[in-house]
Amino acid sequence: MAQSENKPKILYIDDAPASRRLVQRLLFAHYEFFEAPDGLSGIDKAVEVQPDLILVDLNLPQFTGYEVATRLKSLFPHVPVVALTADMTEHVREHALASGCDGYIAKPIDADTFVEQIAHFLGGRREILEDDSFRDAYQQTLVVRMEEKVRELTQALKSNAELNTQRDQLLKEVQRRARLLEAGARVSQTITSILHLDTLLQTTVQVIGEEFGFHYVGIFLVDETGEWLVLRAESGPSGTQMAAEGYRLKVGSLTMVGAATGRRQPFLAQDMEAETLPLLDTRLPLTRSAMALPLIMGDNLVGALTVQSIVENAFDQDAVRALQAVADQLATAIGNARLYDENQKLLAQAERRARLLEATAQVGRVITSILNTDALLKKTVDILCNVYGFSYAGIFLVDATGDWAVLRAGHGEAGAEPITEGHKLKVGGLSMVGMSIAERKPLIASDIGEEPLQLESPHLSLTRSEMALPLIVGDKVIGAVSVQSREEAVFTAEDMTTLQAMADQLAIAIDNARLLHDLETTHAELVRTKTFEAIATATGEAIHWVGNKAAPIPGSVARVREDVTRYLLMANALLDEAPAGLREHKFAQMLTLAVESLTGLAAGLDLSEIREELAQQPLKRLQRMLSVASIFEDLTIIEQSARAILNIKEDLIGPARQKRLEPVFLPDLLRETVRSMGIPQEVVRFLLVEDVKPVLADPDQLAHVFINLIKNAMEAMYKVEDKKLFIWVRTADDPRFVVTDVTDNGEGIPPEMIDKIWVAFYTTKGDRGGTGLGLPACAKIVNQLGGKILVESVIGEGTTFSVYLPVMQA
Amino acid sequence: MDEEIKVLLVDDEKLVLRSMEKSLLRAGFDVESAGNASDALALFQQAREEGVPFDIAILDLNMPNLEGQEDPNAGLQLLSKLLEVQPDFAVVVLTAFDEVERAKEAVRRGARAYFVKGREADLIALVESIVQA
Repeated sequence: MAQSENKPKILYIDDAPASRRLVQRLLFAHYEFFEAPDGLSGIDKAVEVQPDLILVDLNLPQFTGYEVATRLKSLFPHVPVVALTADMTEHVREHALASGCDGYIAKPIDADTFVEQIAHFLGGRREILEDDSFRDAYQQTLVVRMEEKVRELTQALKSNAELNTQRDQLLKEVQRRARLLEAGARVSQTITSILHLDTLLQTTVQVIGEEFGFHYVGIFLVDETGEWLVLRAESGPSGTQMAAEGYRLKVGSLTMVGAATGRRQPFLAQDMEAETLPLLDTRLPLTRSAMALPLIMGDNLVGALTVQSIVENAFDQDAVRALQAVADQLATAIGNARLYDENQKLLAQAERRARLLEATAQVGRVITSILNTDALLKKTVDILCNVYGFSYAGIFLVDATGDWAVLRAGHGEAGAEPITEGHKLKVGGLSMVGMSIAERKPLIASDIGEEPLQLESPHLSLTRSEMALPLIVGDKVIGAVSVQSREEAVFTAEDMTTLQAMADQLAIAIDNARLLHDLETTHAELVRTKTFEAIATATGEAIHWVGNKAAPIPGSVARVREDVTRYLLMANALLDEAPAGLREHKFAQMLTLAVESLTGLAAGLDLSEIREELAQQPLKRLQRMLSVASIFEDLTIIEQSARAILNIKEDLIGPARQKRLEPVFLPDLLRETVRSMGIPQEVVRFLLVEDVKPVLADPDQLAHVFINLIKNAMEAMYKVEDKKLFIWVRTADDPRFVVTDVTDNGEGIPPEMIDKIWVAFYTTKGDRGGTGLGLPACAKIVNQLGGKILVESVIGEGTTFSVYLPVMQA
Repeated sequence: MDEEIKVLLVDDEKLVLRSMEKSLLRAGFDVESAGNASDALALFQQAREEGVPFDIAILDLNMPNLEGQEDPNAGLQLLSKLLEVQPDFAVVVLTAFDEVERAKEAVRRGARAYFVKGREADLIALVESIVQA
């Protein structure tokens, strides 16, 4: 701005804004106006704008107006500096001039004269200080001010250094807190992964010691009584062995740990000298501060953690907090580890119990199937040793006198069987077995070496535990089982229960075996009787059957005899009336001879009476009485009856006939058999797997089997209109066999009869045809070939017979 | 004998039946035969309806019963049925030589006599003695 460049510049330094506004108003029309609120900014402003005149209020903060004037005068020697002041004290004007001011204007400002005064100073007016003493005094004042300022600066520097230290301390604090948290986290991380209690505790004390840098760390756990805290793990450079010595404290006792656990609150001892409690063991003389934290899980006091430092006041709030977190984690980890240990124990216990039960079950299985006492006992001791792993097992049975228990079976490790069978122990004597029998209860000796009794028993020298279990049946003790182990105290009360259950079972089995032995003689007798009975029954059935089949024969024979007699007598009567020439005929001579021979042959027949009767009958009646057809029919009746009786012979001796074994291809055999039996084509359905392997058999015998089965099937369908015979030959599920099914849709076999069909002479067909021998014979033949016959039947639906025959070996 | 004696013969053993039938026929009886209990009952009732009832029945004990099942007591069952219809009916039961006890039971139940199969001439004599009495 051209105008402002031409105007002289005036800078006004005053801390009172009202004064600055007033001066501005008075001057701005004629001058370019600048202002500053204090000395320093005023000096800076002057350097910046290069004013033509400077007005300074003398009463300024920090720098006084005098000092500012002095400074400005040294910077701008030719620029007039005028003091403005309300100070009315004596010699203010002289002081101002002494400090370097060129003039003095008193406040309040006189508006009428002020502009003119300024113009004068700009025009070159300078007030002169006549008295130099004011200058000296001003010098003195400056020096004092200087000294003050130096002091202030020194003080400021000092407080700066303090602030720095403070800041460093805070930083350290933050770092330490972070480190504590980190240490806590590391401890937590480590301990939560350890499940074995001792490892957990040992690791924890080490990690806490290392991470937090403690002199001593110890963990106490509450014992089973809940009254004592036992030192379980410790660590630190102190090298104490208190844990190993079994150091313990009472909960709530006058110790740090005692107090912490008693109150269930962390207990802090920051300055050992000041503490009144006998806080810690004298074995840790270096400890200056210590802390004990209770380990609490849920509501239960688990133990305590103690940490000690050789530094006084080592535990601030942060450390306490970090350690409390660690203690909480530790309590949980201990709980987990205990649970884990408990689980491991339970698991081991369960495994052991399972093994015992397995042994018991095996004994149970075996003893129900062995009825010979010696075999039974031997097997039992074998199982006890093999399954359960006892070093020795022996079974003693009380002898007939009742005074001695005799070893009947023993099983020990190979080559180490200590005694021979027959070894005797006195019942009630000083042996586990003897006492167990006398007292009727199981006994355990946990450490053989410590037993006060001289036990006379079959110990291996290495046996450390023995259990004796009485064998009791009813109210009688029949013996005892001894089991032994090389480990000490290996048997628990629970084992005793399990093994006693086994012993009870064994006792019953032994008693059964004995009873059976007694029964065996009787049984042999019984078997013989039964055999005779069976033979008698079978024979009776056979006789009945043969009797029925033979019944018509005598009648038929009698009729044939009578009929032949009648024909001959009729011929003879004709010849009597014939002409002589005809009687000479050779046929007539034959008939005459025949009638003559009748007299001798037909004993019991009155020939003349018969001839008389024949003569009297009319022809019609004669035709009914006598016919060649009747004779032939009677002969047929005789023949068929005889054949039926002959068939039974085949069924009876068929299986025993000499065999002619050759490869038989079943599809061919079945086709041929069915064809030869004349079964109508529409009835039979074949399903023949053509590539089945051949079987080795007598083809006639095998055909007999299938004829029988097919005949049975046809007979079962005698009432069925739509008869269906299904024959299926295939390889069995077990490829070593070929199976042939013969299925009918007949009446079926009632379930109560299905077992009886294999019994000789049993027949469901009454007199309709069966001998009751067909199926038993079939079964016998098939069995002899190494096969089997199965039957399945549903009433009203039909029956399937399945014949399994072994495939011929290549 | 002006009128022939009418005989109902029942046995499920075909050859036995035919043999007895022949013996009775040639002895002059009018014989009708059946192979099981239900056929026999049908013949018996048909004859009654036609006004030419049987004079006597000869029954086997062991044969298919009225339900068609093989039954050792089928003869006894049929016997009861016949006597129920015609209480004075003459019945002879046939038996094997080793089943006499059951035949005696039949007599206790109202059969006129039992006959051990085999000697057919004796059967004819027995039947004649019963029908002429």
